[in-house]
Amino acid sequence: MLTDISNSKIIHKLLEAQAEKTPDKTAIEVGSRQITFQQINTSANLLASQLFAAGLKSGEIVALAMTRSPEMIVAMLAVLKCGAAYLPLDCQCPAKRNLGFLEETNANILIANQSCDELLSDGTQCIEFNELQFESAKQIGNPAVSVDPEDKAYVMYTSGSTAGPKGVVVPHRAIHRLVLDINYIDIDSNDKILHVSPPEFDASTFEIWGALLNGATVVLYPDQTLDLNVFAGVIKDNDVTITFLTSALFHLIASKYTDALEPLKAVLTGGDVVSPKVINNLLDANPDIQVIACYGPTENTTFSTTHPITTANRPKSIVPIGNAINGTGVHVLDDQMHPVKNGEVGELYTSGPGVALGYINTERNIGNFIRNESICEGLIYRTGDLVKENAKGELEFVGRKDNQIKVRGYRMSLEEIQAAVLELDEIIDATVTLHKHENGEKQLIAYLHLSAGSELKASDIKRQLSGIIPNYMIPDVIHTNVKLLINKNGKIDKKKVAQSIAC
Amino acid sequence: MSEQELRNLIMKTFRSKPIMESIGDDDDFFDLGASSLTVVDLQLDIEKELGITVPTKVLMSQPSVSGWVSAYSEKLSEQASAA
Repeated sequence: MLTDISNSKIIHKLLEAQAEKTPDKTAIEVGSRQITFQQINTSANLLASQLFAAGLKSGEIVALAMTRSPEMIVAMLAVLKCGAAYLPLDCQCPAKRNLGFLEETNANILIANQSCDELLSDGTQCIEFNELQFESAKQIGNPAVSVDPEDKAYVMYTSGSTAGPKGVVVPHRAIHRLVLDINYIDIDSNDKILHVSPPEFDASTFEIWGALLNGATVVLYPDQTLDLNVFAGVIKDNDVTITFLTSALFHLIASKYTDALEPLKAVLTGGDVVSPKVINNLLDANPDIQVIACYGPTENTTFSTTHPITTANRPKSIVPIGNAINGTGVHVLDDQMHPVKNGEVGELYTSGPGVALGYINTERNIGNFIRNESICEGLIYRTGDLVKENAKGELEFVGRKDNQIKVRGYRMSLEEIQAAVLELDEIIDATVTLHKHENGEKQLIAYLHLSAGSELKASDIKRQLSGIIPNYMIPDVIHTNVKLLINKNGKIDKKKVAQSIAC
Repeated sequence: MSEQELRNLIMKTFRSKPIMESIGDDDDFFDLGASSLTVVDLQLDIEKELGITVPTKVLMSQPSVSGWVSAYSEKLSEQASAA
């Protein structure tokens, strides 16, 4: 119940209260199919009882091998109701990567709505959960499991350095801080938020829980492939009012297909720097739309700062990442962890209830999740992003402190890709660079020094890499004829590579 | 629109991308470095000219100039026979 303070930040308790308040309101829509709050709550109770029967214990992690579907959302809810946390997997990713996640999180129950045989090992149970008949779900009460706002709710992996991806552990109160009592967007029960992000990408936290915990409706994009004609059709036919787009996709749609966004009240975009020109083009076409530029690492639960834009404050030269959202502390510090002077560049640290519990592998918290009473109480996350404050007191993104990059909304490091390439046979040396075209499009380019007599082709290498790293990390262009780029030590010379790209 | 005109339009649109400036009829654009975002970008440009749509899934499964020519010409002839 909402009046119970101890339940006020627990995600499934909030959903249960909503189901009691508006049982017949539509919670999920996909195509013409509509599922009510009561139906998802009842179905989740049923699945939770199955999970208990399968031996799931409070505090454990359950992997979801599920495509975007009402069943996936019910599965997330059921896992939370058991006092456990969900781990969404991308089943397009190499099995090796997903198996690594299962091992690291000790997840031995997998809920699936697609084939996932390759993820099953000894001791892993798979619960198939698809095409649920929501109407006929047996009525059972909400499970009585004691859950604390500090308990973990989900784990999502982000790319790390050469040491591989890092599993970020996010508690209930951090989701609460993202979607309730918020100041960066108005969400009311009449809103319909599109869930189009991949479930393993943390924008899905905003899309799903942002809708459901506000009594609004989450509309599911029905397919795995993004088709902009389908996208525009869903927005129009399902009366979507709010959507999140990664910067690259936003750039494309806002410059070439503004009609698709016409029915929206607000579009959120983030993941990379947004171009003022593109935003202005969208505002010219759709003057009533609000664009919200969002910034935030997964470690601080989806969004940390936002900058709302309408025709009243059109961007000129640069789009700031803006100001901290409710429940977020931002600290711009120098290398000695002292605040920089106003307007100077420093590294961004975040604090407050949005900060994750840390990484699943706690050894990797060192230097990233820190405590420092002179800055603030509680855990602080070091973002690795360089920012500065402008004259209006808004933050502007300057760059990365390390050599991590963002491509297609995904954070990754060139070293991690390079390490994957070097795992392949017949490759002596490799260097991977990011090339930005004039139109803003980014490409990962790999230069590979093959062993003598090797006949590996770019397409073979891409195929082999798809067994090691996710598709978004596979270099777009692979050059194997690199004789001119090799220095006297037999290594690929980065300076020569840079010169060859420049010409 | 004749098939030749359609081929010219698709070829011209593909070649406007730096990574595809010398693409041939049957080259797989994914091998040249196209991403799924490049696909929807090219699709938007071509469909703006043609006024018809083809599912992105179909275009992804036929990733070459000749693949797109057959996808769009099929759609055009469907429309012509329906009219």
